[in-house]
Amino acid sequence: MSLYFILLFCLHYAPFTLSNFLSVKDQMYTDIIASNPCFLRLNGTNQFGCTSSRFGNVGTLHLIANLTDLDWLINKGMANPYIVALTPKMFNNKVLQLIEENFNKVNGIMLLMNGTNQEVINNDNLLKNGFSPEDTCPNRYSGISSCPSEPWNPYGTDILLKSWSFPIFVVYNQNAIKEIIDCFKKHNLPLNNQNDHSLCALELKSHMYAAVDSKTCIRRTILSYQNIRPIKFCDVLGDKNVYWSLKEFQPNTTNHSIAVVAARLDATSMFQDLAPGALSTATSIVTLMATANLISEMLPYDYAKNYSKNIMFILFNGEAYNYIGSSRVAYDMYMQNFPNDKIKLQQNHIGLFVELSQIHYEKEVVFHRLIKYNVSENVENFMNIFNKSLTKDEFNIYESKSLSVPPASLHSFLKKDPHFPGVLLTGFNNKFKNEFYHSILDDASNIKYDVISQTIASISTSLSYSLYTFITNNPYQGSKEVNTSYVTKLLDCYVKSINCDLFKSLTSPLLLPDHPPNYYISIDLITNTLTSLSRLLFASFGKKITEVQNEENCIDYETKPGFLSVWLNGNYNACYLTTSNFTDAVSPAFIIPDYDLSSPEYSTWTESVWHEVQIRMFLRQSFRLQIIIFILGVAIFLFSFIITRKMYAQSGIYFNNQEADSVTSC
Amino acid sequence: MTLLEFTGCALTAFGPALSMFIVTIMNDPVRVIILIASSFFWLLSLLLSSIVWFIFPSKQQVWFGVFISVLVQELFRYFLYLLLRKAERGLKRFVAHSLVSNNKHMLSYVSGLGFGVMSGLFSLVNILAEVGGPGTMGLRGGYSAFCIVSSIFTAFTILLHIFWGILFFHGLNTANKNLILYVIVSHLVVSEITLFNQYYYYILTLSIVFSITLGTGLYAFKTAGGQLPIIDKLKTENTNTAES
Repeated sequence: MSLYFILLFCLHYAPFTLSNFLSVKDQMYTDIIASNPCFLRLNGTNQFGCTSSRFGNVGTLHLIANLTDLDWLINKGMANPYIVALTPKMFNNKVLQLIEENFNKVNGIMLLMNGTNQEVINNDNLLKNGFSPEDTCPNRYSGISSCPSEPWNPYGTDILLKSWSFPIFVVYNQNAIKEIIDCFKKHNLPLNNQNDHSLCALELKSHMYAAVDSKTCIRRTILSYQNIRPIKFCDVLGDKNVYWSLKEFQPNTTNHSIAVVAARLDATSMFQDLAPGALSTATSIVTLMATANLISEMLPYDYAKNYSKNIMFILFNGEAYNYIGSSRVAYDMYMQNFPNDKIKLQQNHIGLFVELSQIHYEKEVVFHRLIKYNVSENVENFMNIFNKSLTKDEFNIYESKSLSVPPASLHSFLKKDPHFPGVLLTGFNNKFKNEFYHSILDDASNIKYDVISQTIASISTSLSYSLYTFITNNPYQGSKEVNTSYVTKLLDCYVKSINCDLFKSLTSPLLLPDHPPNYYISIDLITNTLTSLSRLLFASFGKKITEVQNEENCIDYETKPGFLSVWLNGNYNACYLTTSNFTDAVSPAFIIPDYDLSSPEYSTWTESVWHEVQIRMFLRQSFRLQIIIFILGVAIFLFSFIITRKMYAQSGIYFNNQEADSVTSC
Repeated sequence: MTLLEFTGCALTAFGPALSMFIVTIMNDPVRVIILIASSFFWLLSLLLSSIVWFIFPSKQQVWFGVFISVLVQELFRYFLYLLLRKAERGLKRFVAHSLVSNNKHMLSYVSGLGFGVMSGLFSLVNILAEVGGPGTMGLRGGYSAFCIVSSIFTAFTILLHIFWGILFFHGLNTANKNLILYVIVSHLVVSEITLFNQYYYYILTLSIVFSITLGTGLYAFKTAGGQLPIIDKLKTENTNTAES
């Protein structure tokens, strides 16, 4: 009994506790939270982006904040290979090229975003230097006009369009950045004699399956279908275009009777899941949506159906990748298959094509068009009316004198017909005002959030008035205007977070992710959330079907031709009749049988498949200690071998009782 | 790069055991069988102690788990002894052509080595598995020499198991309770003392374990009838000079 008590006492007061026991692996490695690698994309002739080796790239950590650090690394660094952590200032083409040339020294790159985006921009003076990984002339080879001598995107560094032989990650998590910097300071400084002690090292793993080009990787994928377990190497980039028209389309549309208002629905960046595209994309979408909403109020269906003309609002997807969406629409029109094989809209049915691109917070609107061929009366009229209604608001409106057209979906239609009556409505003249075009910094802080809603509201109002005139041939006499607060609501959705009031009012109780929208088009098997939500938003401009009370009946509801019924959740909670719908935004290159993927005519972009993305931080054993341990091990083995052998061979000398009696007992 | 560290650690821990196996055991099938049987008995003891650990309510107390585990190991050493004793007659028939019975301590040596190798494998294998990877200890606790220190501990444990095997069987044969008690107590002390490693007292623990190994080794050597010729020579010289 007393023994029991002693035991109990010991159990409760003994100092050894399990709480501070970590497994060996956990003591060695820290996982760095960073799920945004640079990944691999391919087109018909090349590969772009980054990949790690199959089991990850390992290297000694080195922080690089200026060129001196880089110089030291390349000329004096002894603990090869290195993984370098760059500040955004150093993340430019020159530094990356230098690193690429020293590929045996550097094994990977991390971009540390130390602080909020605004802090990063201020600290590294990025407003002056720019931070755009895109080409200086985006979509250089799929436009109708060549790149002007003063390129559109002067801040472009071209990083996005190169193939790097090492992995690149961006780290946003502030704790992770602190851990990385602390580890470097604690273990890797001072820099001399780095090989004498354990060094802080990193392993970057982001192995991409695809290689070479789209043609090769699609062929490999098809070949692997014969295997028991087929492997996919790459996926075609694609999504859906979203459109909405004022009234339904009918077969046998007359020529030049349709006005199209277009914007693009995608942006891109170098890193997975981070394509905020605020100024690159979102402002134009918001302008388009606000215009569509106002038009639907100015010209209600019952009123609009008296006119023969129609307006179509369309959001093209995948435009960052050689105009996937618009080239598909142009191709479908040419094949008499747009939006379906009954209506057969064609390019010459379009009387006015207005594209919104990079609408800026500054009160400046610039028209771009292919001056050489464009003599359309509709375009002239539109520009005049738009001018008139907007100059009241102290806007500076003029037409660009450039002979080429900036990167825009318009190119896809101009390629089929150079006389196409299209005009591009932008916030910049001969170069982008956006310093962060297609970069991870192009977020809410890049658009002067409180200023821009007023600008957008004015532009949308004038745009609506001009379109009203196109339909009715009369100027608008009413007093309806785009409400600034509605624009702010739209901006909340398209710039700040998908989980915004407007989208929630369409979808609740469905939960929406609470993060800024990702404008990357992604693979064609998945329809992006933003695409579906934009379609629902269009649907809410339609008419309520009062006799249908629940979702099932709504799906089965027989609509007039040209209409669809959509059930809206949330505040609406009703069945809506809408002209909005999706069309495929997959490049014609993957539709046309036996299309030569190396031809530049259509977009041939694919995205590599990858499996695992991981960053681990750990200490790398110093080479000296490794050698010592190895020699010790070998010495112990040899020594013990010699001793045992000698003793066993001469056991007669060492052991005196050699009698062969019982096995176990004496 | 880390292959060096892995090889060094593995050879440090298992080098002595490996050389003993190559020199003394490999050539005799019966010894190999007994080696495997004793390893199997160690595994059984591990199974039983983990069952106890599993049912035991307070898992925070590592020292108690170690305590139970040592007792269970010694219990199974006793079971092994009983088994070998039962198998004695059968073995003898075999042994006519074998080397097992050359020395009555050969059997206890072989079974002790089996115990040691298996326990060494289990204590070091998860460390060795990680040493092959790119990292080493030191980022979140531990120190850079962790692997080699653990390997040296393992080497001592294997040697100690051999000595304990010899002493324990000898104690049972001669009904020497003190000898058995010494084995159990020293096993407990060595196992519990390793718990101090988490406080980085590894130099202290290493020297204690080293002295226990040395002492136990010498005693086992003597028990097995060992004698160092140099000492004998010195002794005879001494007596000679005394006589003359």
